[in-house]
Amino acid sequence: MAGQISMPGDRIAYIEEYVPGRNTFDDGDAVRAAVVGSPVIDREQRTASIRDPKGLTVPDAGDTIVGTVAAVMSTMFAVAIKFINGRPITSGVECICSTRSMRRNAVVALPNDVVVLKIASHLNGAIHAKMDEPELGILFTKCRKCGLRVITSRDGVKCVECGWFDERKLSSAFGDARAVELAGG
Amino acid sequence: MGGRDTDVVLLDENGVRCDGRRIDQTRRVEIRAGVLRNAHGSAYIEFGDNKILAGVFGPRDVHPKHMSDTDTGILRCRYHMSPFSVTERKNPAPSRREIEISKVIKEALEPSLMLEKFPRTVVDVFMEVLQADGGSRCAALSAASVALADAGIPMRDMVCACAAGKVADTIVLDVNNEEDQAGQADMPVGYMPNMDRITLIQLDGVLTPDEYKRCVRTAVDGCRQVYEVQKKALADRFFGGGGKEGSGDGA
Repeated sequence: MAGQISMPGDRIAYIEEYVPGRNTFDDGDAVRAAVVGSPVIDREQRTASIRDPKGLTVPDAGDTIVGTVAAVMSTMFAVAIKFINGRPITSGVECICSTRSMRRNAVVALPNDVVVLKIASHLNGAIHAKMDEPELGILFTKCRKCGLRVITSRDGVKCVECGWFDERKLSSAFGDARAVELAGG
Repeated sequence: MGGRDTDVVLLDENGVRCDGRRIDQTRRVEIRAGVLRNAHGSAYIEFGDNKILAGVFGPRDVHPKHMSDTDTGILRCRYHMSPFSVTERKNPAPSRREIEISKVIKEALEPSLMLEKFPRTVVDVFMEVLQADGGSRCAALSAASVALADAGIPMRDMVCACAAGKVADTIVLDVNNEEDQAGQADMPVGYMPNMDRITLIQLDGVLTPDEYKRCVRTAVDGCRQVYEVQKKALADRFFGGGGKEGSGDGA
């Protein structure tokens, strides 16, 4: 398959032999390409997929995104996605991240915080993200009381001006200006 | 429906049409993908003397929000003729015809798109006719499909389009402006070549059942020719024409 180009609708494998992978679909008979790209046939996993040279403005499960917190609710917060795997996007698509499993009373995120998350799934018309790994969480935030600079302190952040302490789920890359590049892998 | 009276000889005794083509020949078709930097996907088509730009944005957030669908993405299409696209200045406000063509192009593209993968989002397609010469809806549909593929939006198949018609009691492929005005029938067809499905069919004029079947077959043959040009445009865009085109079984 090396060097081949598949157009949307082109047959790349039969469903008796391969399952559809990324950027493909099956029409009940064959695995077909859904985008323009190079076919990738994995003979061990028995998957047929397409390597997409461009990428979409909507993240897929497993993608790492960087965005700003758009709204905070009691058990979740919404994030406006700005980067997918380090690639800037302008589509304004939002995802939600559940905070139900976080410690009670902890302020996980505040509006306008910059966060790095991993996309867990597309479910019920919403994009669900998670932040349960060390590198995931808040990248940049400000003091909840006075809005000034904070520094890390134990499991949260402490304001350098007023000394207010808040618990946050911080990313291991908190405060690192290269965080977007790091999120892109 | 005998067409408008004209002095132009639409088809001579040798089967040569008013622009020198044979009855089964399309006009020159040229497509370039990725011509606009700011759009997510774009294409430019020259279909005879038609010159059309298509730009795609999305999937992106729907505004106004109440238009969003929680089960699927939505498609919005806008076909627009520039004031300088025809000989008399055209009012740039959307006309009845442009609204109709926007609607039929949207309905012709929808079966090819996998919008259910992107609920609550919208894909916007803008088609701007820079120069019109008959058959602009087919040209715009073909360009829009290339622009959607250029944007990387998952599709079940490309949609290619070409018209056929009846001129001087003969079924001809790819009706031009004179034939459209003075001919007996005009049938634009949108077609998904790999799925072998027709996504758009309209008929202006009267055909017998036999003529209708021949007209559809002729138009589909034209669509297949347009599809080859679409594939070449996308291969040039993504792989600089260096890749080996065509599907493989992979097994």
